[in-house]
Amino acid sequence: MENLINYVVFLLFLGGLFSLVLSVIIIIAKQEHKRSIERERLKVVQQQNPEAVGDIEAKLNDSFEFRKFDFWELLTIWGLQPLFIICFVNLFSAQGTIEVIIAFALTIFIILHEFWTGNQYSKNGWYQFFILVLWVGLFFTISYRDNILKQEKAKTEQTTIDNDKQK
Amino acid sequence: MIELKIKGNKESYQLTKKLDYLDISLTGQFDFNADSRINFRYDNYNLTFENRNKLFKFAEEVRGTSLDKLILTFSKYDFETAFVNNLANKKSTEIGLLKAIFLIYYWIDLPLTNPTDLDLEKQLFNEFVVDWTNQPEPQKDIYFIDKRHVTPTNAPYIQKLIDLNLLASFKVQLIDNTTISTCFIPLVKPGVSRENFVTEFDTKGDKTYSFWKNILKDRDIRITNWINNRF
Repeated sequence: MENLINYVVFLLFLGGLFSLVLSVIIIIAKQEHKRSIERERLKVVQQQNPEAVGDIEAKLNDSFEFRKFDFWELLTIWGLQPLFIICFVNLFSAQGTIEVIIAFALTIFIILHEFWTGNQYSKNGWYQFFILVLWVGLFFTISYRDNILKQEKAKTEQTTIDNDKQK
Repeated sequence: MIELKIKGNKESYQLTKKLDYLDISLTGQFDFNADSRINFRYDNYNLTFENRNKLFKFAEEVRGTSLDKLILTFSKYDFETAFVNNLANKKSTEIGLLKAIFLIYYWIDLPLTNPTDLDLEKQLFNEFVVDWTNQPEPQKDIYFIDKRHVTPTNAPYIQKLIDLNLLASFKVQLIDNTTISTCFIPLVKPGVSRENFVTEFDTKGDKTYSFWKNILKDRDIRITNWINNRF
């Protein structure tokens, strides 16, 4: 059980999580700024042509450019890139077959996500849950593998030292 | 005979809560070399275009024009003066519907002249028609909704959205009497507050509202795909 958590991997994932949340907050802040500028512009237009504008908030939310961003949706859309980087960074310290397979599987999934599923399903609760499971699952897998690889390495080093001593 | 027909609410529901449907239609022969007259029916006015070529040229001129220029373009052709003079009093919702028929005609002109090679239906669902102004400014567009939304079960919701000025219906009747009916988000799409979605069959307005949001989601996915995957 204690093999499931590795402090270095934990720090790596924490860094990834913070970078993700920070970038999403920045995206939302930029969008809100854009919306407030457009809201002011629409208020002026509304006085000249009330029929074309109608309810300002509804018009903003219906448009593509100025729609309100959902925090969880954006978290899902951008959620795979930090995970991708983490898995590649992890390859420096742990070069097992499973790590390489994970990195390549993630590459294929990220292509699918960026081109199709990310836009299509990121509002879907199940898809959001799936991305969350991916994060948690990969955290435990990578921690476990790191611990095991470290122990094996220590073991082989110990045996080589023992062998050298015997000679 | 081919008939293109637009139906929409010309009163702003958000401001006046009134319903006043407007029918605009183009009827005639749309073959490439057809030389017969094309009837242009606008509400109670019966106007005519000399032939298909004149109409095509006119549609090209109308694209991207502001209201003032639109009146100028109309006055150049010999329409009834009462109709042209009336244009100046019309509000933006109505002008948007008037422009829509010419924009859509221009958009589907090729499949109408060459129905064997080009699929008309493909052009009328989940597509954009841009009112291209040739100026560096945000361009307005017409968006045809996806085919899976146009079903008999959705008909009451679509009707409600037409009343709210958020959609307008478009029908094409082809030579072999097949009709294609679709809906589009018009050029002038006002913001409609949430309480206006309430109807008798949908007392909280939730179903109509989520139907509307689904239509918008399709549009947004279409735009995002284009932004992300263009080359």
